[in-house]
Amino acid sequence: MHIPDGYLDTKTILSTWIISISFLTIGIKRVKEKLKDKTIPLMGVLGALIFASQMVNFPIIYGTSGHFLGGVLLGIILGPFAGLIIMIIVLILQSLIFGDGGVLTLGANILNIGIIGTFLSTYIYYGLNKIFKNKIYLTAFIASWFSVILSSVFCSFELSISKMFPLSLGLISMVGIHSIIGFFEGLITSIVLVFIYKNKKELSIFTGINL
Amino acid sequence: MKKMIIIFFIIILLILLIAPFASTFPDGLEKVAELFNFSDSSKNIISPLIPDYSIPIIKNELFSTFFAGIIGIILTYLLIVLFSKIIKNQDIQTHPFLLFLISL
Repeated sequence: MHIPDGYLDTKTILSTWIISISFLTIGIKRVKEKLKDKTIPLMGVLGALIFASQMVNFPIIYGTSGHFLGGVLLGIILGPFAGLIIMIIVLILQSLIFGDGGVLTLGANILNIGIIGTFLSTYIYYGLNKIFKNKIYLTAFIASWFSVILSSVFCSFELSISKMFPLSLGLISMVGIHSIIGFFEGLITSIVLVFIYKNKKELSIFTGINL
Repeated sequence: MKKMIIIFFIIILLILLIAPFASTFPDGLEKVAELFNFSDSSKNIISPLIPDYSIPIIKNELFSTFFAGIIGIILTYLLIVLFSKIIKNQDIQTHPFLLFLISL
């Protein structure tokens, strides 16, 4: 869902940059206060994991592919703020070195994938945990699913403000495709959680500490 | 924590082994752009060093993607560690990877 350069108009580019930089500043402030030295290597490795998994596109339907985003997974393990920072760094690298996502549209991609798909969606996960007690695989699945759909909703807003498509039709197509991609996002997140559950004491969400 | 990092590292390597065989179909957004006829608006305003996750000088597509992935994960790790250390105001001399990066 990385928006390339050329899809968004100037006002959308500028406003998404302003939102993204504000969140980056808040994120840095929070991580600076709470970050423990021993967490740093784990942050780096998880960032590398997200980078690698975003390279693997899997086919879905109608000659379309999707890939894992990993925002909620990052948020669950490290908390919404550290998750946001890591996702922003991955997006910057993808844009500048690999041409995946535009340079001018980086602000929009940070908003869609970082702020909505990682930061906000982690809070959705926390919220769901209050409703469904002790069902972290289910809540992680739903939150991850929503993270992809919500990202695609914001992406649709930006494209329609930039007059690339009419909002209603664009929204239907974007959400339609991404609800299928999101299903796999949820599945992968839950499977990874099952796998790391043994190490639960080291994970923020299980210990109640989050960045 | 160490054990978890090693396990994640092995998973990353496994993912990179699959990466060269990833689907080349357009992703969700590209597909929608095709449907609404604006996919041609996409352009590169800079020329990326490693476009489309393949290293231009490596002709074999599979190896090209695999090594692009290796470079990507190393850069991601280094940048996150460097960034975290800087915002924590730590002495970066104590980290061997960062020393290596600076020496480049």
